[in-house]
Parts: sequence; structure tokens; C-alpha cells
Amino acid sequence: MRLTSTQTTASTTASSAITCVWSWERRPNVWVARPQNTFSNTSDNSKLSGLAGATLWLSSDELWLETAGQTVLSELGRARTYDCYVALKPRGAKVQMFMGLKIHDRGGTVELITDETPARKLNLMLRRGTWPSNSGNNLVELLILYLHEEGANDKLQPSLLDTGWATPESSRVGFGIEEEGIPEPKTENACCKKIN
Amino acid sequence: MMHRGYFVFMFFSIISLNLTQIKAASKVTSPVILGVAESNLQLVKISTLLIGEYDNEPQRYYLTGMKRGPSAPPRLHVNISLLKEGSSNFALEEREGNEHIAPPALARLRSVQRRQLPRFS
Repeated sequence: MRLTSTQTTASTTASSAITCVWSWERRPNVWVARPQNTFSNTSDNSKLSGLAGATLWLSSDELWLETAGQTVLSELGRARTYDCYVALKPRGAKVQMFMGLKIHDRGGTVELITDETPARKLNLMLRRGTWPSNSGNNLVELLILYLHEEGANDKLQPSLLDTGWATPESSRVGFGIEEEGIPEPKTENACCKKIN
Repeated sequence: MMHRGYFVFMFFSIISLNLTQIKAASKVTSPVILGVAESNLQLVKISTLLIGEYDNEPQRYYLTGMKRGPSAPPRLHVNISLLKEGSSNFALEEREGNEHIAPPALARLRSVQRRQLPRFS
């Protein structure tokens, strides 16, 4: 399908003020947009990155970028926004709550600095992506929430404090742990709720 | 002999059926020229579908886990929004995608601690 010139072309202005024009055609389950290479503000196409100059494959949940010279297509997943909270209670200390944390489910992260001495740096991350199934023969999509603690310096790998998973269509994902058999136990709770 | 005749009949029936299907398929895949009204309808579908936020972090994580990290495309976060209602112009915002919002989170923490907190024990 090729639409008429005024209706088919979707002009997109990049952050570097590049205007790109694509021509769309329909395939059975996907829309394909081919660049028309009309970059109004630049003459050097080699400086283009991201969507500019790429062929777009648009489906209901993904946007694929096909760029000349790249062997692997860039798969951009459609992101949904979640509203999260984290509640921490170190051993023998007060509860600390972080609320109203807005992150997206395609690898969105938020950094938390605890109110302790010394302060700890935590990272809350939400990722919806494909994973090998238990059998190893298939791929399944999962929504996973992580809470990492950064190392003492940049050379140390962040340690995983806790994780929780849900099916990709879930509107909520969270976890909660509590130490047992200790008078002042440590607790870690986090939950994310889809808001759009 | 009856069996042989039956199989010969079935063989030609299957061949003719396949030829029919190929002929029908060629009709379906022939190019279709759409009118202006249908083109407008398709454009509305594209505009509705295109708007949103996209990120390739899950793909990068998957490729790294599969020992294909060097072939993974660079991290990219894209936000596509409509520039003007009813038009086919979109604003495109691209960035690296790692959002660390420590100062607002810390500010919220302090404001929350002034209030009565629920007990978690």
C-alpha cells in the first residue's frame, strides 16, 4: 500500500532538529516505514543515529529498526509506565519508604539513596522481556522487578537484593521478604502498579 | 486394481487442489490501490499505534545473556508523540535510557518520614 504524498508521510523531528519522512506500507501483522531520505537540516547521513534513516517495522508491542550495516535489528519494546514504592527496614532501624517512583517496564531504573550512615545506593529496575523457558526449548515473556544494591565502588558488581516476577499482562508486580528468627528483622518490600 | 485407481484419482485431485490454492493465493497477494478514504483510515491506525515510549534494554539484556553482547545495538530510548492533533507530524525524542532520579526520590523520602509510617514488623 502506498498512500498519497500528503497522507502517507509521517514527518518526525529528532532532538537534533533533523526532519525525516517515511512512507508507510502495510504487511499482514506489521507496518513497514521506509525512509524517503529527505533530511532537511543535514547533508551527512552518516551522522544519523537512532530512528533517522532507518527502516521501521511497527507492530502492536514492538518497533524494530533496520539500519544499513547493522547485522542485528534493534528491537524497541513498547514501554508502559508503572508507579512503584519501596519500603526498607534495616535491622534495628526505622522504616524508610520511597513512594511515587515512576519507571517504565522496558528496563526503566530509579536510583534510591537510603537515609543511613553510610548511605546505601539502591537501584529499582523493571524489565519486560523474553526469557528462556524452564524446558530451554522456548522463550517466554516475563515482567520482572529487581532491587540491586550498588557496590562500594564502581568496580564492584551490584548485588541483587530481591526480585519478583509476573506475567507480562499483569498490572502489578512486587516482592516482600522478612528475616525470621531475629528480634529486629530486616524487611524489604517493593511493588509496582501499572498506570498506563 | 480398485485400490490403484483410487490412489491415482486422489493423486490428481490433490494436484488440482494445490493448483487452485496457488492461483487463489496469487490473487490475494496482488497489489491493491487504496482510495483516499481508506488511506486516511490507515493513517489514523498508524498514528494511534506509533505514539508511545520504546526501549531496547530487554533485547540488549537477552543478547548479553546469550553471549552475543558485542552484536547488541546501543541502548536507545525513544519517545514518539504527536506534534499536532490530526496531523501526520510526530516529535521524536531519543536518549540513552538509564533514568536515575535520586534527588526526587530522596526528597520524597524525607517528606514521607515526617508523617506517621506504617509498622512493617
